[in-house]
Amino acid sequence: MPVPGVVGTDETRQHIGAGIDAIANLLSATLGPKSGYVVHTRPNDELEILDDAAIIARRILSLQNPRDTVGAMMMRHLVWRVGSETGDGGAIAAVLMQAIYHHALRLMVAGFHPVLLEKGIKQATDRVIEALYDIAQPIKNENQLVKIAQSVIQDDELAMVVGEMRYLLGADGNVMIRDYTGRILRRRYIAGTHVAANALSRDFFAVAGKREVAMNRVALAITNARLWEAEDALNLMKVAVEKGAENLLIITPQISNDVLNILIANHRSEDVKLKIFAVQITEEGLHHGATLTDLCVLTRSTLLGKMQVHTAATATVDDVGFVPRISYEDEMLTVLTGKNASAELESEISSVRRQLDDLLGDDDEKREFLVKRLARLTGGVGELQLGAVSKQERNMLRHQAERALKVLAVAQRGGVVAGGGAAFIHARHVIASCDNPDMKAGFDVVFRSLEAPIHQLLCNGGHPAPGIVIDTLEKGESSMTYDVMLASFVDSYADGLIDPVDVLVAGLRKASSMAVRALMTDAIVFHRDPQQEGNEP
Amino acid sequence: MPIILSLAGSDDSWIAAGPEGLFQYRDNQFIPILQPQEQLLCTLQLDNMMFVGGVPHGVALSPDAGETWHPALIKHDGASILDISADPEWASSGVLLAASAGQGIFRSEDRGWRWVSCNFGLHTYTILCLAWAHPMPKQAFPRWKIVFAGGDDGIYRSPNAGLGWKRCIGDPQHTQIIVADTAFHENGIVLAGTEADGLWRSEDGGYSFDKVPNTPSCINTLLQTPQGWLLSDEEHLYHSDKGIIWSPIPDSQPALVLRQHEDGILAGGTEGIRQINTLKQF
Repeated sequence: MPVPGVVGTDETRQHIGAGIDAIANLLSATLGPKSGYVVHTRPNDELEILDDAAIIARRILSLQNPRDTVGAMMMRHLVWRVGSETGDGGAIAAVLMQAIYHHALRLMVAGFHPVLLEKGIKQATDRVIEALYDIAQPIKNENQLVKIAQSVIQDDELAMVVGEMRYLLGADGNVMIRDYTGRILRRRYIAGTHVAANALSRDFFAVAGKREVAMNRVALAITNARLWEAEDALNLMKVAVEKGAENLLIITPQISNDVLNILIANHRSEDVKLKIFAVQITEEGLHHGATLTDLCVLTRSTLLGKMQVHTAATATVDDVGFVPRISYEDEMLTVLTGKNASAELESEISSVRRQLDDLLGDDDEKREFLVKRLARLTGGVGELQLGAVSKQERNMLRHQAERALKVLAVAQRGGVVAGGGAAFIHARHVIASCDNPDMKAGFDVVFRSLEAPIHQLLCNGGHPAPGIVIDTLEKGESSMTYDVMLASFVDSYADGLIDPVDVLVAGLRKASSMAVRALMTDAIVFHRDPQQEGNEP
Repeated sequence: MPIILSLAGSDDSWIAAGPEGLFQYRDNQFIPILQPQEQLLCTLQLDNMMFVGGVPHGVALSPDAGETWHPALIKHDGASILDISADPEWASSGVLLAASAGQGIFRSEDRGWRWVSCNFGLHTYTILCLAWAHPMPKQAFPRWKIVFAGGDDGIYRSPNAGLGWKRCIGDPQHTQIIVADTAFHENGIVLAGTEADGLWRSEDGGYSFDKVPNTPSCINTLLQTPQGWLLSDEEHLYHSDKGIIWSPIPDSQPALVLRQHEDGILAGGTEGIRQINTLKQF
């Protein structure tokens, strides 16, 4: 516990800088070209081998010199935030923050006005971010996704499977990871919309004892009110026939015996060409309402019943959806909707995305619910079966897979740029000069700092002259990068050395902001611990 | 002469399938092979194993060159099978695919005994044809297993031997034949023929297709030969070097299926099977 007191300005900057350096130097090993590892000894002497910058930073709670801890904690917070947002980029952010802090500090010590310096840094950062988006390209194929996955996952086979899954499921797709004991790597893709449901009568099943149903060309009537009167059933059957369906699926919370008898009689009749199946959704509360909404949007049907425009008795042909196929097995209803693009669907997808973006803090339950909804609406649900011999290896693979899936989703949404830190070099020309003399110092700080990631990467790879590489990249096309392993300049898109632009943007923006905050910190105050005895301020 | 819709096998032994049944084709003779389907639409032969699909439904297989037949274990609710195709590396992977009318694509991992639905990514469940690209070199990474499916609303591409599908850009309707170039992994060329929407071509590995102008609207079959490409509409055969500019072959007869043979080309159609000697024709 530090001695309570106040650390003054000059000392503060020295200690904050030391804290920042400690974390940045530690994390720079994980930057590349081949991911480096950091070994962490847990309190119970168990060893952890880590390559994720965000987790490494989280393991650090304080430094040996408590005065340096403030800077270290700022860095820790930065790296964790970047990792949480994009799945990657923590090491890049750390290296950038270190560079911005030290370059700016030198200018401040030389007498530059800190407020103008701050403004210049912020403006320069915004311009570079804009330039990064200008040179970003969309993801073209699954090969690019696999290359990005390889930068997160050390196992090539797993990287290939993860890249393939993200390609087929899309950025909004949800991947459920199942753990297994033993070496297993399998994936499956779940076609259709799956909803937990109970059949409302076993008389709907064709074979006694076999609780399965499969129907093609199905009209879908969804209601949130119970079906109680005969006219409810008769009207639904009528509109289903008008719709041209061969089968009718009714989703309702409850059904009376009278209605059930009518439905079953028609279902079994040889004369009537309409087979019927009725189920109730078993999800409760928020999930129940959302499931009904999603099914309506996906099948282009209208919700009937309580507080709706129509009830089952007054439903029209337009209120009933039509799907190519449904099946029911093991208390799970599967609705295959085929091609189902519509304005309502896009609107609902946008709404769920907005809710996810607005979600604050650690509301994991709500987040999981919204992620599942989004995957259901966008038709992207898959299962990854992952196993390893030891629990540690299994946990590591799972963590890498989760991270990679997140990073790949970010890449699919925002696009990609030249990797290896080259994108910063290509983008920084927009701040090479500045007409406003007040902003120039800030622009210079950012300009020089942007070469820090590639400089570190080249040093990690043992390159003897990083400056020459940087100068060459500066003059090259925006797709050019330097392959440290091959020791040659390559086309990043052809060779797969690419980075998601949103990862770089998040890293730069947060690093710049945190560096400014660190620069503006003039004093550190250590509070007296009330439980300590004999402490002097 | 029987109508022939499907030809399978190799130069040692060919089997031919059509509405009149299954036949072994040897020395211009059709030797009937008894099998359980009423009307055949497709057939496949892998070593001693034979597969047939058609009306009424499902896949039937014979492990002993047609001596005995067994129904494949496949949950299909009466779907007619329109095409059966094997992974070029089926001997090690055991993967086969079957396209159906109304229930999408079925996939087997045990050389055709048990099948499951693999419809992820399909917008339509009527699939008319399947086509595998040649295997990638063993040292390639990532080593995809590319297969195409022609549906009634477009073409689908799978990078993982049919586990999941992604719709290609381009809207060819009712695609009934797809062929990937033998040098697919170098040039990315795929050709697709439709029932009434002409010929479509991809140059980017099958991610997108563009319509080829000045081609017949109905294309029943396609084949790539060492001398270029062949296609058939309802009246003639056509030839092209690269699949872009096509010329009708004078005095040619149409075909419903074309297969490369050691002495030329086998063409199956409404008048049985005939041989075309490519070296002399083109």
